[in-house]
Amino acid sequence: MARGAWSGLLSLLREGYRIEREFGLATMESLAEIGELLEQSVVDSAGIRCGATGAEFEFHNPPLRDGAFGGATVRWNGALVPPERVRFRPGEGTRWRTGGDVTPQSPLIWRPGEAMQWALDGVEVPVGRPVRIRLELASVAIPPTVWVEFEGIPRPLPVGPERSG
Amino acid sequence: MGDRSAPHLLTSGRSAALLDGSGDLTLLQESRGAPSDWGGVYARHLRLTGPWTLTLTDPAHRQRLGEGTSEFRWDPFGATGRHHLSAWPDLTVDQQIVAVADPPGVLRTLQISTLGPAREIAVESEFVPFLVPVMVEGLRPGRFTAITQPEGLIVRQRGFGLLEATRPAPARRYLNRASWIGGRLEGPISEVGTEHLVWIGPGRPAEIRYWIGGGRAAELRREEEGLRLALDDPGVPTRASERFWSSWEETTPRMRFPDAPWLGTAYDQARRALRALYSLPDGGIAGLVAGYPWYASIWCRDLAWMLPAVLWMGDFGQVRASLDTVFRFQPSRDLPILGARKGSLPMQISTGPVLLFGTADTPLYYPDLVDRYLDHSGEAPMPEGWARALEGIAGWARARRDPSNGLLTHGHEVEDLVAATGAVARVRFGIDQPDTTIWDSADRRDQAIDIQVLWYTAQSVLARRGIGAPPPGRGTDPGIDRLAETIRREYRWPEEGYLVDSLRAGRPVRALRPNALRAVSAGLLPRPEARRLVERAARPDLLTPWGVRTLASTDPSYAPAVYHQGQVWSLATAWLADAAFAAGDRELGMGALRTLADRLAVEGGYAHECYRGDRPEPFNSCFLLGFSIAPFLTVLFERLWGLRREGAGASAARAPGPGSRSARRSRRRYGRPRSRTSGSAPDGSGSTGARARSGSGGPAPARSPSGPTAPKRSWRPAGRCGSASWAPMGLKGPNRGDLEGSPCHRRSRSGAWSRSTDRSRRSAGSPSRCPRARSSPSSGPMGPGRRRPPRSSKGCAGAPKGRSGSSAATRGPRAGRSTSRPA
Repeated sequence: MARGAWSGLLSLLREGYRIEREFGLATMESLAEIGELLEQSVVDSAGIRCGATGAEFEFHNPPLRDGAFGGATVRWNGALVPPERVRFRPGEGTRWRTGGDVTPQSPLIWRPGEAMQWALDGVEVPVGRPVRIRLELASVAIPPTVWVEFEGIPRPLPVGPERSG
Repeated sequence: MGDRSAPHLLTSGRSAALLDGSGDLTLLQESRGAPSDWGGVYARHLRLTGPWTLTLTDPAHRQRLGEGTSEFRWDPFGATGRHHLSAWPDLTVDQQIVAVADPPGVLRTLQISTLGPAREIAVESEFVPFLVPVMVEGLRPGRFTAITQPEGLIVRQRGFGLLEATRPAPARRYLNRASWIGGRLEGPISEVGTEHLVWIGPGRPAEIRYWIGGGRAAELRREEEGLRLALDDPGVPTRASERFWSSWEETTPRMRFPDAPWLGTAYDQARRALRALYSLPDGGIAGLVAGYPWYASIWCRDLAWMLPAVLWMGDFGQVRASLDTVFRFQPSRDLPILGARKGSLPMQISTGPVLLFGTADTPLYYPDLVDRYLDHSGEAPMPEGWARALEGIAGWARARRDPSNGLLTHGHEVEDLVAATGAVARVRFGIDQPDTTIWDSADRRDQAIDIQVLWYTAQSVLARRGIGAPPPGRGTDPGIDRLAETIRREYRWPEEGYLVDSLRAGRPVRALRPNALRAVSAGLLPRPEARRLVERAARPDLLTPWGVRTLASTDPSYAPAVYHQGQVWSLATAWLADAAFAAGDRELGMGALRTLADRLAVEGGYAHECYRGDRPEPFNSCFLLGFSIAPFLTVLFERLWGLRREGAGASAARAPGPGSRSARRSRRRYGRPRSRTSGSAPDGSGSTGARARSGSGGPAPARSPSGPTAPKRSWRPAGRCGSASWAPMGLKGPNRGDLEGSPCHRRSRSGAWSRSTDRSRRSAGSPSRCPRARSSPSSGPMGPGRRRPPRSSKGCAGAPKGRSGSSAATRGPRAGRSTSRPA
């Protein structure tokens, strides 16, 4: 385990201990459950997959906020992926849309419990090294941007992302 | 005719059912700009299920109950419906849906009868499991654990669980639409279903009882016995839920305005809506949830706006329990992973308990709330734990004080949280939210006006109560007068006759928002300036016919569909009403009250959170929000009736409108025991009579009004029950009204303060303990000394009133109404 990870773990343990002292064991347990729920219920555990055309990943739920989003951007290792190379769809057999199509007038609709597949075309996939993906969403109703960020070592895709559907 | 999109909320204080008028627990509501189905079962701050539907089938037909015609009778705790399905014209399906408190859940009874031939019908029940605290927006877990039990089926998701049970037991169970023989299953579950096969014939109806309840999974087993009893005899939990509501109606004040019946109706509706938000999940947590559908947990800022109204309802127990709950979660040290700073108070509390911190203003409300509680209840001394909590709040606030001007600085409250969780989480989440005032999606840094008003009010209370002085050697608090002077000087906006919204880096942020109205309500401005300010707020760039915008339409960043950048909020409309009365502009105050009352009427007794700024259309708006009703109630008591708490001694006070003839007369008369007040209407159009008596045992100590212009006069009641009738300030024409059943209290033999219900009064003594008086008949004005004879004890304040005696209008949100829906 990397030094930074140990530091984070120790910090988490310390915070957990303090929460238990302040508010009791039930609060600590419940908060840990919510943290776990957030971590496991948004990003698909299959992680980042890569193929000839780029990378793919899947979400099980919208992150933090649901509804209509008038903007959707993705960063790949910190660099903005051009919106026309960002594709998404709610599931197999549905039509892909691109990030460039998303506007307040033509928003991305994402409801609780809805999965969403994402594909990034033309991104450079480092072999055997982790990449960091950040999805930023702008709600049409509540301005502050919400974002979700995760890391993973891309695994090969069995087949490339569909181009239409 | 029923409106399928119209929401219905059935509540028991510990559970809720959300549904439309179709017959199923489905409710399509737009949220965040997109429609979602918010129907289902809620309990203990959890959304237990998504939509819950019933479908009838036979070999030739299949039809959902919600697809037929339906006629419903709505009560706030339950609904009774009769359904007809086109697939079986001879069938009648009677349904009862009841929100149950103990154990918390929803009981649904289906009775199918026919005048046609005997036959077998299959009834399928299907629901989507959710099992997440409502505070986790936009998330539905995918994986669950299902375990069959003797009573039914338990579905768990981490520490949360629901129990589904039926009488009789189903013929088959389904998970994900596949037949399941039972046992234990872990994995993705998107749908839970049962199938009952029932034989019906003429005179042989079939009945199925369904139950879904839950909360913390550990509690489910303990509740099985209660559930068994509820399923055996649904009448028992139904009556308990009915009592939850009827006791509220019996013991809370009533208002009648013969010349403004719309106002009395709105009061009843708002009073009912407030009750719907009561929340007593378990684990010592009490409060009121912020709203429905998606804010059904305790938001401590929202709670702070509701508790003053609960005090005027006389429910001191609920207020005390709520304050205990909030203070219980005040951290004694910084907890970055929760966004908590030492001495702060939670933003949200949910069953678990699950907590979230990080607001700029929540703690600042609570000194005044404690003060109000002590004044209303007469309780003394302040509980030690509360005093410690206020000390903590004072310390939290001091750490945010700008030494250059004494004002509070805010912003960056959630950065700790994002940084702390980012260091340890595999998946990191964040909101680029630099600021967390009440308009928490707007960046109002560094020193927003309403934060300073809250700080001023909190400091005033802390100083009066002798709490929160800085430790020796750590400087001294600037004088409260100096703070007031700083606010008046630094926020002046002479060009607009208004106050700027904030100071950033010492420079004024010239945004026209309704938040400045709070300075008027707090009495920070001299009368002429206060009057100019409310008049400016009433111009059409800020005020619309459906309420007050969060930002003027003339502002370059105005956006009519954006939450805090132009949408109309009913809370802001209530601020206008409050400030207008405080500034002496009664016409404007009444206009704002009328706007709020109209919304209640249009929305069937519910009150939306917000509306678009360019048309009267809810957008991204809970259909019921405590913000939108409680301040309306508080304004009625404190501004329209002019009731004030005094702060010492057992008295209630009425502070009439300054300068009015009634006020001048009142000054002569107030303060006398068993006083009687009368005078002309404020607008001089008619005279009014007023008389009130209350108990020596003593209701509500009252404090003088905070505004600089309101006269500090008190009226000491002589009876146990503050039943009064006088001229509400602001009504035009022959101003008359009745206010019955003001909060009454008595001290028990043990010395504890308790609410003196009318039932206990009646059992303890004669009706004369509950005196009341009425205004003059509507046929003419009433001079001093003239009044109606007292009504019988039956009509006296707090007297039990059978539900049959209540009008539909007085039974609040969609209560007592029948709706029907065509196929």
